[in-house]
Amino acid sequence: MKSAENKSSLINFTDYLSAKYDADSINITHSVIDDEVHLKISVTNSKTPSRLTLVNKNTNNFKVIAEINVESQSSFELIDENNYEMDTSFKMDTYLGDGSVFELYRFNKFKAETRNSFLHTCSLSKNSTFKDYNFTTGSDHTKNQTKINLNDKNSNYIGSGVVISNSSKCENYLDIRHLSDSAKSDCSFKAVSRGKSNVSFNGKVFVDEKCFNTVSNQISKGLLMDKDSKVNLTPILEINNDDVICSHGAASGKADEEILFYLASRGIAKADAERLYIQGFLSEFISKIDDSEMQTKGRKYIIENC
Amino acid sequence: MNKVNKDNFKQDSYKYGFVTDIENEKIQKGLNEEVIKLISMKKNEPQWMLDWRLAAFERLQNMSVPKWAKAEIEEIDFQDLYYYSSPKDFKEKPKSLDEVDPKLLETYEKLGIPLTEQKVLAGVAVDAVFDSVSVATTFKEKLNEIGVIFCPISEAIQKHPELVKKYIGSVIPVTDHFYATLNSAVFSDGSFVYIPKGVKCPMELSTYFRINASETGQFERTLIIADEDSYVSYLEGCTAPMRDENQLHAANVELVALDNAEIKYSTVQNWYPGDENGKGGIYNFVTKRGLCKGKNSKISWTQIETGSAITWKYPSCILRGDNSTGEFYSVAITNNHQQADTGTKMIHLGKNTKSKIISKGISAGKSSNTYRGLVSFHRKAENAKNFTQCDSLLVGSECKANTIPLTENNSNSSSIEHEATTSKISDEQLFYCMQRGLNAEEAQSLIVNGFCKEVLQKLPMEFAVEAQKLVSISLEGSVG
Amino acid sequence: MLDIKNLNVSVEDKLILKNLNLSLGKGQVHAIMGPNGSGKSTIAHTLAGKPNYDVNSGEVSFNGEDLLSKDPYERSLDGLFLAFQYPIELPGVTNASYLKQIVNAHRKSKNETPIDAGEFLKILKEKSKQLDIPMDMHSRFVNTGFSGGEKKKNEVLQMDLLDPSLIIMDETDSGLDVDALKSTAEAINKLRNSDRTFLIITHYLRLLEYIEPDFVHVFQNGSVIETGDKSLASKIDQEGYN
Repeated sequence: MKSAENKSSLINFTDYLSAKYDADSINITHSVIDDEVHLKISVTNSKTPSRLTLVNKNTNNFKVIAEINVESQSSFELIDENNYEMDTSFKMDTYLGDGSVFELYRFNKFKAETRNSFLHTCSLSKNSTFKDYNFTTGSDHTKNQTKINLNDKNSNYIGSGVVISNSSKCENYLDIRHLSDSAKSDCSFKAVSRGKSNVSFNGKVFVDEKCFNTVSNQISKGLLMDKDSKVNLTPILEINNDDVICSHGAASGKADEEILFYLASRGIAKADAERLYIQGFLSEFISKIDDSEMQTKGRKYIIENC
Repeated sequence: MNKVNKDNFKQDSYKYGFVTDIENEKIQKGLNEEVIKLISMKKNEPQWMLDWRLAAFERLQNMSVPKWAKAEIEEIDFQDLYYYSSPKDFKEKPKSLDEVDPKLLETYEKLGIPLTEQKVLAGVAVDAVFDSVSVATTFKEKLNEIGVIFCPISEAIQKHPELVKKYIGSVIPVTDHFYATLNSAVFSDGSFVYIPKGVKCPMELSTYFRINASETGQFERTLIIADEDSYVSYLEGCTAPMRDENQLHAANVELVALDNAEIKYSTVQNWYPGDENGKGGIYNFVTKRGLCKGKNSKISWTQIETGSAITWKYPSCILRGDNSTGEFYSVAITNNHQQADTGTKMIHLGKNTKSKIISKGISAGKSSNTYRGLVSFHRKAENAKNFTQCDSLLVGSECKANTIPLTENNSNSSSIEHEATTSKISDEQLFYCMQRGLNAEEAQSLIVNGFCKEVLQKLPMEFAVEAQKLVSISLEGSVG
Repeated sequence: MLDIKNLNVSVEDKLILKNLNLSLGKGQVHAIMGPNGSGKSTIAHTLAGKPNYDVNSGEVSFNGEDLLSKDPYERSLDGLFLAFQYPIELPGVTNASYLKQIVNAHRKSKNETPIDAGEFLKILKEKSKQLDIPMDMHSRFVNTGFSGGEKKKNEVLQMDLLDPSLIIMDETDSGLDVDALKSTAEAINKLRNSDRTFLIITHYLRLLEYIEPDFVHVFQNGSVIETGDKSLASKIDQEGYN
């Protein structure tokens, strides 16, 4: 699965943003217009997954508009594992060709007092797969929006979101559109709301007419840690034909007192017990990451930020 | 040949589609202050009631029709409707059933609702509302003995003004939304129930609503108050004749439960749904809300929604009293071109409040069936709990099913759980039943009734069987 | 009473039955044995009229009438009973009301009046007792949460209640332990009589040790390749299908 690190090249877009990437299979053009970095990334036939890692230096507000084209039968991993100390705005449009695979890993830590927005539209062709992993913490106000168009047969979306919110506002929108038959989507969202946080998740699954043999699952869970914490979950199903199997579940509530008490009885301080509890709550979803390297990163992220 | 075709569910002839030929007295079409004053005058209402109506009408001027529902609604010309229609003989309200026009009684017989004393055997007291007027309330005396008031709201306004004044509009504010406000301005009649302290009402109270006159809006208003430590089970049924034009029904129902009181409110709604091409049918825009005002109070809504061209209703509970409970059990069936946008709101304000929502939606034909719900825990609703289960069953490839549940948790000691599934009726189940000799329709009805079981069980015994049949009839049609 | 002639059936465009010929006489017990995945269950499903089993060509006559043109429920009313390998769960439908409904469907087709509740309960008690089925199973939902043994017993109970002339058993032995298999087989044996025909589809010999067949057919590659008596079953059990 891994692409060898030594193969990767470095490209500087601006003095604060660069990327490491596999030059063999990834072609990047970029321009900077009014402080905004415009990227065009295309991934051509690659036997091993091509990888691109964003590197941010935090000297400037981060404004990126990326157009990504993963050609048919290609594989692409995009990794954004950065601590952002300025406002960010990241807009991505992705096109996945037949049989391609795209994996997106965002392990982002934002500084408090910043505002951050992420808007991703991904269109999938026949037999393509998009694995979407978003980890968010920090930031005064985060807005994550993902729109998925399952345009053709056997296209497959697997998505997971983790939010650890500390007295902040975090809005999450996921809009999955089944526009062809035999497409699948499976998404899970887990949020920890601490302090005066207000976390919302609005997950919509739309199944168009004649999209037969549709399978879609969605689960969203919110954990409220403090008195002033809020979680609003809205899972929406819009189904326009009968040959579907769709389910969704949403649950929000506090930590299980009995578990916390059990941990306390073993001599674990309250704050540590709560952290352990949160780790348990979020890790259920980590095991869904196939890539072991990324799974490790995910675990580390949760331990460091909870 | 051996393929089960579920796309062609034809509407079974609507059994309640007849028109009763009775002379009606109507107030001229249109909506204005004069019409409201006339309605109030016809009802011989006190000034405070008229003022209340006029205040609502004034608010209405700045309001517009709500648009949130997932339904295609033809624009309604509110000036082109009659707001009051009464069987002509009713200038003087009949004092006993003997004085009621036999044709009217016949109508209710046809509907399977005998207004005669025989109904006592079933233990059901009935109030019947024909167009906008309450025509007969049975068993008044029997209920009077234990202090239960069950009468038309027009009568309650005269005889129990202190109760009406205190509670009307206390759950659904006059300004709530367009249809609620419209109803407040023009409501003609409906049922009023008061259960005194400590009384467990010994019989089911029931109201049957019937729209007969054409181009007439029906705006009934129901108010049920359960005083401390009391209990009441109430059931409403609705039918209307087959007419080509759409008819508007915009009712308001308010429930108030005081300390330790319980109200069980069941609806079997079978308004005319329109023909198989979507022509005609009732626009059913209803506001139903219950207030669990007292400690340990409980309000439970059960609804079987099979009729109407468009159904748009969200029976809700405001759980203000500590330890109060709200429940919502719903079966909504849509076929042909019917549209239903229904669900509930559970607003948790008090401590240890609980709510449970079980919703079963069945869509067939080209219909659209939406569950829309809100579960909201306010900050002070400590240890509140909600469980929601929404299942949709799809019959035929052209139907639509939507689930839009909002959850707002602002109370960290509370938990919300929501589960939903959407799937088509199982071919395996159909084949299994057919292999045992049931035809496609019978097999379908068996499976659908099983799917609804959890909700049907919540209906009062007397009506459970009726409802089960209705579920089957609603989906009946040719299977080829 | 059942004649299958040159039957070709495909499922999802894949040809499964190829020129199948089979003839079953009144009161006979026939067994069809074949390896896993050979499509022998397709015979059962086709005869019962399961949707998506496309008959490309061939004829089946059942008591002299064309079977294939009939709906699944008509075949049932004509006396064809299929015991499912995996009986289907019907959540929300109590077993008692389901059983009564299927019995009444059959009565109606014979122009008989619906059975009254008291009489039905009496019959149900009697037959349940014979099959060692506790009455509380009937207040549960049809097959929902039933054990493998309970499901098969419920199939046999339905067989008994509907009084069919042709019983097709699709891998009835699957999922049963030795005791359950034995008691199921005993119950089936009680239903054997000179008017009733059985078609037993199975992979193993073990069911046939309890229910002795008159004829054994070996099914492979979509058609019957060998027919014999009971000894053929033992031979296959020892030597395998190759």
